[in-house]
Amino acid sequence: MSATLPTITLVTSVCAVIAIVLFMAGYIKGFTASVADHAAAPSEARDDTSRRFVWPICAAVVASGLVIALLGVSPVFILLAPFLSIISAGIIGLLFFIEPHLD
Amino acid sequence: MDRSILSSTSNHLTPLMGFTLMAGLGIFMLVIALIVKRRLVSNTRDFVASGRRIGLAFGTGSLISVWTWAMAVMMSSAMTYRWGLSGLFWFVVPNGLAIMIVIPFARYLRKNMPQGYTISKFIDHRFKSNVSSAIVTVTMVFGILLEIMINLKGTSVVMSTVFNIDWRTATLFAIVIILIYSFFGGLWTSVMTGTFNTLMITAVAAAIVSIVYAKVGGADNVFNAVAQVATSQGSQLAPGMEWSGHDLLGVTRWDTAAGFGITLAFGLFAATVADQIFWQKVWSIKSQYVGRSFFMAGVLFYPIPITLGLLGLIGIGFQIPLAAIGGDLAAVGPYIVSHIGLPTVIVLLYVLVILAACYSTIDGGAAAMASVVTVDIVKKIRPTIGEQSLFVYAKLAMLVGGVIAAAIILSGIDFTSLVLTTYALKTAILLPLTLAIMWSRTNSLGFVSGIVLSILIGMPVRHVFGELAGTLTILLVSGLTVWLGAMLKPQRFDIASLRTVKDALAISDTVQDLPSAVRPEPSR
Repeated sequence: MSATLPTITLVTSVCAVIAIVLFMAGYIKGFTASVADHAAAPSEARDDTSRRFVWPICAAVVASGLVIALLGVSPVFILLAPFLSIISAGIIGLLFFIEPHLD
Repeated sequence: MDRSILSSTSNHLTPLMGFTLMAGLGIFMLVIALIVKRRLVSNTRDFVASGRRIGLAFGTGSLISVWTWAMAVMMSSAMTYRWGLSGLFWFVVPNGLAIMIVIPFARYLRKNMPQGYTISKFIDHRFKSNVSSAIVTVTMVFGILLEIMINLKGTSVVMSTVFNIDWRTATLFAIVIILIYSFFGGLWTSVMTGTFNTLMITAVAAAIVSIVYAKVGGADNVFNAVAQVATSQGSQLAPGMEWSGHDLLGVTRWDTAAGFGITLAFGLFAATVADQIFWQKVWSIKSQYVGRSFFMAGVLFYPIPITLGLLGLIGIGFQIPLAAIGGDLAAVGPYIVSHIGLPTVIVLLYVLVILAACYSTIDGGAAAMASVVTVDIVKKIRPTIGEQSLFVYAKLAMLVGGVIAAAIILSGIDFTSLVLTTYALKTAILLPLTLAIMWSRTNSLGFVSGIVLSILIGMPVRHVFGELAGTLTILLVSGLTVWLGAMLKPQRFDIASLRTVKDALAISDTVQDLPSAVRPEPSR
């Protein structure tokens, strides 16, 4: 394999590492919180007060189809596609930090 | 793209490496499992439902991991390799939607039956009919077994392709490892290990795919090669599977939709709505996060098969014949990664991604099996069973389920019939189940008749006229029959009455004192 990776591959790899670090930091925080929650007295079950999901679901489905369609439009989108997976990992990592502040 | 450069790196990828990978990942999961067992599991309710304390982040991560099967990781590239981007489109879009369509049912049922554990138990309370609940229980068990088997099969495909390990040995090795760590901790273990596995199939997989593309000359090279293949006369992956003359870079191929897309879509919807692995999460995630967990899981799942599906484009670019990958479309991803001269560490990481997907789905299935057996079978037969004995049954269920699944695969029996049976049951159950949840006039007559008739009529139609016709027939007959049943025997069910259903696993006051490792928890 060439000793010099293309810039986009280097950037992708670096972003992946950042997402991994964020994810693991969140994971550890989440695990600790789960242990503390388990040790605590049971709390009252709360209603799911989040909004309706119809339009967000439609938007997500359309967006996924659009992303795939764009892969066939230009190779640039093929290069960008892996970043979406990295963003998924990063968002899950962030959720661990955001969760205690929800509701 | 010159196919002659493809050569196996098998000299560097020894079976010992493969076994080390499988065992290494298993040991890592075992460490997590032992910590989970010590810190998070006190009783059967913790074991099968995590004490209903799974938060948003772990809920999202674990939902993604149980839905991203080993086969799904490889099938996204397989469908792209077979059909071009239309294949990726029809594989990916319904897949994410399948998680999200559970939301309205999940929220509704969690609100109205907060102490539930399984969808079979809901049906049991809904219709007060042993036949209805038995049908659903059997469907759930078949579905779980099938998911375990398909993922074991996926593991054996990648291990045999990359490391030349005998597929039977890989199957046995994998199931032993997974059952060992799943034994400790139950659903919490599945959630924690699954969430970690989600990291593997997102960020790690993204880096790997990017490196693979760099190795084969970049996205431009692949893009142009695929476009050229589409216009090259006679290009095909196998007789009857032509690339030539098809729009491989477009998403509007109708033959893809008719060939597998539409049928797969309905099958996927049935796979989540009629799957205890997901319903177990509905009752295990904190009630205020159920909707958001499923939504986030669906959205954040999408990039995973899109990213991994890009490997299928490389398969087209190289015009890899199906015969070169052993006749199995699913092997195209592992084949490419192990034949383009990547550093061994990258190949090993890719295999870890597949193993992560496999392990997480199988341990999720094992946890679901524990919930179905304890709640729908053991507690039904022996309602006053003590906590310790119930805990034993929960663990036994996981072991027995895994052993049966592995035994079926190892026997070499073509489990196509099991696949067909489970497919039929799940598709047949889809509409009656959703109507049972959302329509108060659904009765047991319509529910049972709908399932039975749709199978009796729909499966022969499927056999004669194909999958699409069969699937549509099953759905139509099942839905119509439920409606007819409501007309013939008018009655209304007050779903709010399920709020008084007691926690089936609540520890009774007569339970003997438990050893210090297992302490009772007050009813929630």
